[in-house]
Amino acid sequence: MEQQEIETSGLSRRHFIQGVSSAALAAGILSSSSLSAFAASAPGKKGGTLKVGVVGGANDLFDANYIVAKADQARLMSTFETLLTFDENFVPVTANGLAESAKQNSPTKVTVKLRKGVKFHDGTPMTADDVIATYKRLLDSSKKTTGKPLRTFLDPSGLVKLDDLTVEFNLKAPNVDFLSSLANYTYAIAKAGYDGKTQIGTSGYSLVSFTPGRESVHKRFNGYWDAKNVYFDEVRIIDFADKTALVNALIAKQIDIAVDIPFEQFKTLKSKKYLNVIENSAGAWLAFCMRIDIKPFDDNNVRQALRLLVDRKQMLNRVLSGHGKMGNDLYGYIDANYNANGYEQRKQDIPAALALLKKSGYSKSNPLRVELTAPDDTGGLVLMIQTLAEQAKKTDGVVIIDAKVIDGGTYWSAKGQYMNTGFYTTYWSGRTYLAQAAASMDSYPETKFPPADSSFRADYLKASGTANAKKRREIVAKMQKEEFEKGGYIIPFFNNFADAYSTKVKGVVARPSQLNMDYYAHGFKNIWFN
Amino acid sequence: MSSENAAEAKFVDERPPSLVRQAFRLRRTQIGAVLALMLISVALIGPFLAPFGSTEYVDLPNTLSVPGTIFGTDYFGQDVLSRFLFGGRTILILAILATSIGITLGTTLGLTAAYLRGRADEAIMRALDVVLSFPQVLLSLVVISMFGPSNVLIIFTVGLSTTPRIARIIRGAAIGVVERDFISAAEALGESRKRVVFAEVLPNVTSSLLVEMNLRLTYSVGLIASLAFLGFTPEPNAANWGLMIQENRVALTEQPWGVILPTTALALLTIGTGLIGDGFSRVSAGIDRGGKGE
Amino acid sequence: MTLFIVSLLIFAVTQALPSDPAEAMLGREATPEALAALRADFGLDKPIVVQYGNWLFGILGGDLGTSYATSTPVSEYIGPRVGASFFLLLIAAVGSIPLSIVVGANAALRRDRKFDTTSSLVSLILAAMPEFVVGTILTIIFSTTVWQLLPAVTYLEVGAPPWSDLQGLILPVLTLLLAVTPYVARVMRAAMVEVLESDYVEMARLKGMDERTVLWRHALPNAVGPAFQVIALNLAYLAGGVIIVERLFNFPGIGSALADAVRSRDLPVIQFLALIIAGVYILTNLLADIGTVLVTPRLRTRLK
Repeated sequence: MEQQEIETSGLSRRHFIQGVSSAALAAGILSSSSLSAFAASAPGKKGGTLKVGVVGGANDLFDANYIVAKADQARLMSTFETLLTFDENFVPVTANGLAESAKQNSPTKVTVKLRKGVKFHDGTPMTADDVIATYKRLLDSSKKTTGKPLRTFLDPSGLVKLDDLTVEFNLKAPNVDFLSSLANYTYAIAKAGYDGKTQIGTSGYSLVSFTPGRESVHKRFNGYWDAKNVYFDEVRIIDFADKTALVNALIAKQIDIAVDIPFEQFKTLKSKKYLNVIENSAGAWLAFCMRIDIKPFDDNNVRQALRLLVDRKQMLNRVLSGHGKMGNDLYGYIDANYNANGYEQRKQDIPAALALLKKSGYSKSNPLRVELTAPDDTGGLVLMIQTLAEQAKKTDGVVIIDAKVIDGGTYWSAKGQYMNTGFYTTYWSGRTYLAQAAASMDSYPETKFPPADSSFRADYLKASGTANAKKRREIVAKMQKEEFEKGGYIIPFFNNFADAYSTKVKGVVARPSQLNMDYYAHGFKNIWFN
Repeated sequence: MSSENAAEAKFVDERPPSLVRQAFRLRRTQIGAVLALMLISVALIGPFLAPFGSTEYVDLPNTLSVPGTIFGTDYFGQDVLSRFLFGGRTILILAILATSIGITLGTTLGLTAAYLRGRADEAIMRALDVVLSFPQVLLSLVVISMFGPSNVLIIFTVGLSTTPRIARIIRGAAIGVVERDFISAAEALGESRKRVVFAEVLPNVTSSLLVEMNLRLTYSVGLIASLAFLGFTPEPNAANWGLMIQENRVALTEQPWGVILPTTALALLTIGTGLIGDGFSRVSAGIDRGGKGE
Repeated sequence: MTLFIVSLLIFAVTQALPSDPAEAMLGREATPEALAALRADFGLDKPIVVQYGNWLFGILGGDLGTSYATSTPVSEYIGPRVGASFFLLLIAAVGSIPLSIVVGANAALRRDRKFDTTSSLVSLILAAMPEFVVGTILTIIFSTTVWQLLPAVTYLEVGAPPWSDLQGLILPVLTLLLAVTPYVARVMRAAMVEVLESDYVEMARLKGMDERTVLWRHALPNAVGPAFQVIALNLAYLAGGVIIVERLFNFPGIGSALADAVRSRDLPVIQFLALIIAGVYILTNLLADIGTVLVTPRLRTRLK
């Protein structure tokens, strides 16, 4: 039975990450989580105002289906909820989600049963109509949302209301991992008719006020479906323009949580007795992008040579002070099928790089001179291009990299360096392999990989529709081989991120999570003041 | 040229050398000169003494005890001492060039305005007011985000944003001088305007000018560093005392040297030039008094 | 008139910013349709002259436009921040002016004595450090590392008046004070020295007036004249300084809004803030000019 196989696939992922082999755990997809059970068994004290500091500015966004920065994530998570959420192994579960159960009946059909008694902040009940409206918004290309990757698999006509609390997703292309999409944190459910302006969600805290660049105030929502796990009277998400000010405010006890602390302050914060620091490695990555259709990167020798030029260990140390894991030009670190071919760690190999370049006619007298850009609004990227330019000096003038920092507004704009030039930088949060392949192919074609004559896209669709874990792994391995040998990304490392919080705050869970503070404590529930 | 005129001219000509000589007779001027020279030589010779390259990777960032280094590594895993030794040259050149532009333009405009008075004064000062009405940081920030950060642009923006400030101070000081009798005397003797302005008025505002010059130099250094603080850097990771402070500020509690060394250097340099400026202003105040032509 | 030229200049300069604000706003998610819609929304598709006219008449009519970044009216976004920054500047200015006059005058009186040497050394050191260094050091000393006495950032609840967090104002005000005072004090000292050595002060002394009267009645007013110009300059300097200080202490004022707006190419906000700052500056200058004439005896006579 196919459904059985899906659960097996979930299990194999667990196998890979933790070596847990209990069938009961696999069933966790459909049952309530151990996490909320834990929270329930250790009830905390109610009350207080939680002050959360996060880097933000006038550009702050508030939308159930679109974010840019961490401040936006924090606000989205405190106001809205998704159908499913990810557990620590990135398996979709119902805990903290709006679905009571979610079943993939076949590679093209998913049925979601909603929790009973879920209310929006305005008191109206949440029903199948709201879920359908949300997904229609995500599928609507005229709306600014992160829904692009969904559109490969789903049309609005595929959304069917079976009854008030049951929705059926009929996919136009097979995707056996569709439950993961339902756990995407930007696919949060808003009330039907949501325009992105009035923020009415279903979370434990309703929005009182939002002032971009300053703060948002959230008040405990008494009609919440999981009210026993909502502890604070009020949550304030406060913007900081400068990371140092953020950390100082935490040290001076003016805020309770500092989201995303700089590694420069890691030791200092750890040494404070009244603070806790949690570090999270969940497969987020920074990368150099080489457009495979732009000279000189259309030459695979050049791409492979540049990949061999990178001293990844040094780059990890220099850019992240070692807080991360070395990369191998493959993404999807959290996926059970990460590096399915078991490639050895790529190391800096200057002679091999030079040999490849020689084949393409580059030498000291005819050097490979390229411009590499990074936006000034993303710290790690700036350091990365400088490190690579420095490392290229080891080729003794055969490769010359001109590292250039561009202002973020220009860089990310439609005509900017991002996606329009041959050699630039990007960043991503952790995703499973196929989800990332889709995002990198269609939503953000950063490298223009795969080339026209490649079977990569066909393999992707095949893998998405293959329920058998072993067969799927084989297809993924083939895709990864192609990327490893001909791709356009240089992925030097997967970066960790860290948060610090006052020891006053109890109930914080440290486990791998896509977002800071374990998905912002799922909207700052499950945590309380001592 | 009449004989009185010659006498007057001679008197004027004698002032500058005696001013310098007198100034350097003061202890403070000597100390200032020693400090300034010391720092300038660090900036000039430093790169040759640096144990590592200015952008070379040494060890994990913000580590204090790294074998082979004295002050450990900075925010980017580079040797703090080497960065420090490399970092004086750029900022000194940038700040000095920017200040020179500001001083030259500002003094000329300020003196001209004060001397011409009336409509010309009004026109010059109002034009400068327009520039002046933008805070320096704002002006530099907007211009830099317009053309992209580059060293030349930094020099010009910082220099130009300094100009009206200097012009105002100089005009303020010169207006009093212009009122004095010896200027009318010089005019009556038929000296050219240019000569009156630069030979008669200028020496009488040297005290303000020197104080201003030294302050503006300091502020230019500060401004360049402040722009970096706001995220507007000409060349990221260029070894430069101003940027160094900013770069290593975040890790101040873990690796203080990256901030202490450049801050101390800049402070000593400023104290040095400040003391020299002070010395000059003391001496020239005396000369101003004697030079009133009584 | 000046303000009009300033407005023209502000508009011209901000128009020259390289990236299209619509593109900057949409970033990674920009589609041609979304871009066109946004441009039409903001009137960016109209000729520049029309844009300028709309902007100028809008401001004159009290409509400041809509912030690109926050999608809220500029007046709503900036309004509370103007008050907060004014309050911060006011305290800093009110504190720094008398402080620098007293320090400067005293240093001049006690030339080459201990007070003079110490104060000039201290002011030299302070002047040598950019505000963000001074502010960082103050934070380390008073709120994070050495002692934990004062708040490290200013936290104003939205809608609360700026004086609702007086403790949080201490460090920003202190930073501004330390940034400005040395400068004014030094100029004050130089002016004072010049005046003290002038003939009319000597004359007054010869007349047998006591030193106190000489100082306060004759010397100080003459020295304050040039200092007025400097004080005016420093108000402008403070206005620039708040950009740094506000960011350092996360103070919700116009300085931090401005730095933010320049990054996000939020033209309506940049234009309006530049206009306010310029306007205030022009006004202070006018007052300083009048002040100089009024307090300088020589110029005053000429006026009559």
